Amino acid sequence: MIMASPLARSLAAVGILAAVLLVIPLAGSRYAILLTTEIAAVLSIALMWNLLAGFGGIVFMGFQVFIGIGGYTLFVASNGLGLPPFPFVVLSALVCAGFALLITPILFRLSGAQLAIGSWVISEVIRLIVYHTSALGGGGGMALTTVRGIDRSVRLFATYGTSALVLLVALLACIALMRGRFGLALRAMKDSPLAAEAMGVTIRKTQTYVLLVAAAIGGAAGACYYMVVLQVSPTAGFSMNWMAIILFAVILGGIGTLEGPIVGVAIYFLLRETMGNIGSLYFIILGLLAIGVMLLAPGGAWSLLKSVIRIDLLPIRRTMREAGQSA
Amino acid sequence: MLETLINGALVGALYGLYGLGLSLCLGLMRQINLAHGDFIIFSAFIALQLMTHFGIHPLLALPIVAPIMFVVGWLLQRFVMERTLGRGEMPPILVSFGLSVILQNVMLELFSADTKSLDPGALGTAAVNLGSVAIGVLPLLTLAVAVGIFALTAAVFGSTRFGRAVRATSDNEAVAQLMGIRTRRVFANAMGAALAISAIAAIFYGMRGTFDPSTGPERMLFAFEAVILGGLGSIWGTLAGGIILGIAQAAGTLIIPSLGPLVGHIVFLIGLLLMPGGLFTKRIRA
Repeated sequence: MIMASPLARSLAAVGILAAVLLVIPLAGSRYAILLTTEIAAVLSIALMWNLLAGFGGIVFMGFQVFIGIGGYTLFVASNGLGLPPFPFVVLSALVCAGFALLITPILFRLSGAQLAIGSWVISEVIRLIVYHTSALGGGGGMALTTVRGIDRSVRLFATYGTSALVLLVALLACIALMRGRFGLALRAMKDSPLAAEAMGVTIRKTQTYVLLVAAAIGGAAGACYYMVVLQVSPTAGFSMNWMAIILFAVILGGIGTLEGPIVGVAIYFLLRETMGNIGSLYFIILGLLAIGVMLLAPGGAWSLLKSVIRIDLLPIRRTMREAGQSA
Repeated sequence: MLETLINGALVGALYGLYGLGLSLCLGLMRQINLAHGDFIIFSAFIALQLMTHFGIHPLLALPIVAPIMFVVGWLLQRFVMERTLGRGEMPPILVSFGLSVILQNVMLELFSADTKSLDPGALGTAAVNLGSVAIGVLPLLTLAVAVGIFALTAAVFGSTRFGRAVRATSDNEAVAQLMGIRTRRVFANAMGAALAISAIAAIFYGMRGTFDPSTGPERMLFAFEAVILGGLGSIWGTLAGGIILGIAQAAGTLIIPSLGPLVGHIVFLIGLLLMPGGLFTKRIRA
């Protein structure tokens, strides 16, 4: 059987996705475009959390902090300068990366379960500070006022385009990182920090890099999400519900694979769009599903799917060459 | 001001009590329970149901709620958490976070989002005058009960057969099994004890403050902060950590009333930077 090289296959998969993302605004309704914008933002966030936790073993349970900071950065910069918000997602990414760098001395004092709760505390600190800062609108939050002058359809397409670009960057970053030396170091670190260090992986540096990437892209995606909503508040932006959505999507799809978050986010939106407005019951069902998957089928939906179709869409696994073959 | 700080220290005893259950999970069983706070709120709601249906005082509901929560903890460990053991640190975090979300939403469906409290009757307003400051009887009772529970827990885990079995299991499960310890049953009992202690904390919490289905995670964070500030693995350290946290929060409320939790969190983060091992680091024996 002739197979294209793994990298070519990954890039082909991303290329097909890019093509789909190009077709949607041309053929889709306003609702479809808005929904895809939201899906792209949530998927980017899920991919980044999965990179951090699923591949790096850094179970960062306060990931909503980057979403909130990303959203607020975009709103403050765009409103303050009176410029269209779209390019400021780059600023959101930079601010989130800077914040991530700032918290590493505290964060990496902890590991495992303690890091999980420690990152949650950090997120709470930022939420409470924002809540008490009247310049940021306090508890009521703030609105994105600079889009009012922009034509409705221009706004729709620009928001969509920004969100789609962030998603493509997120996917390419995952593939580039995980296929290279860095991905190998990351997974080695997750499996055994001690052995990885003995093999020359600098743990702290690897952890910091993956946190920076996840924070930056997660923050940009958060900014995209709140560009759709047009309103950000401390209670919503730094809400634990974000963590619930990310976690359930990643677990249902399959944690620690690239395809997992994609499948998981698809399941999440499929359930959300078909089950209608059932409120808290929806989270109970998702939670039960996630726990069931975690206990009985830790590989998630993607590993079940893969056992049927037997192909990696975004291959990042490495296989041993058979003895005798030249490298 | 002195009165506020003293009251903060007394509230801190309650945080220590929140932390004790978590400390047993984290320090002795090396297992996290992110739903810890939600179980506290759940216990408070059970007590509220008992109070409204039978018209009893919250303190009388205690001997009923604590055993119920022991059983809940035992079943939780046996049928859910146990399956995550030995699979690394991530599965218990994710499964217990899932439980937390489920519990919050189940409570929302059953009890609505309304803010509730457990009416302590005359006990709530009774106070004693110590010189220039008036201290409530209920906060003093909370401190006394907390110290009692800590002493009991320290005795049970320090010098009984069961305590030895738990510590042996946490040190080395395989060897503990070889020594004839039924490790799974031991952990189930320890988890039951952790939730029974949470139930006691829940009732004192409900008598002093208000709760609703969404207030659980914050309890869990306070519990965690008490454990880490005090030093993981030290039972009395958790009480000290809780009291420090309580005083820090009280100091925060002196600045702006709603600032308490923020100042508490910040003191925790500073404490973590300055003393990563906590106040009472468990000495590692060779």
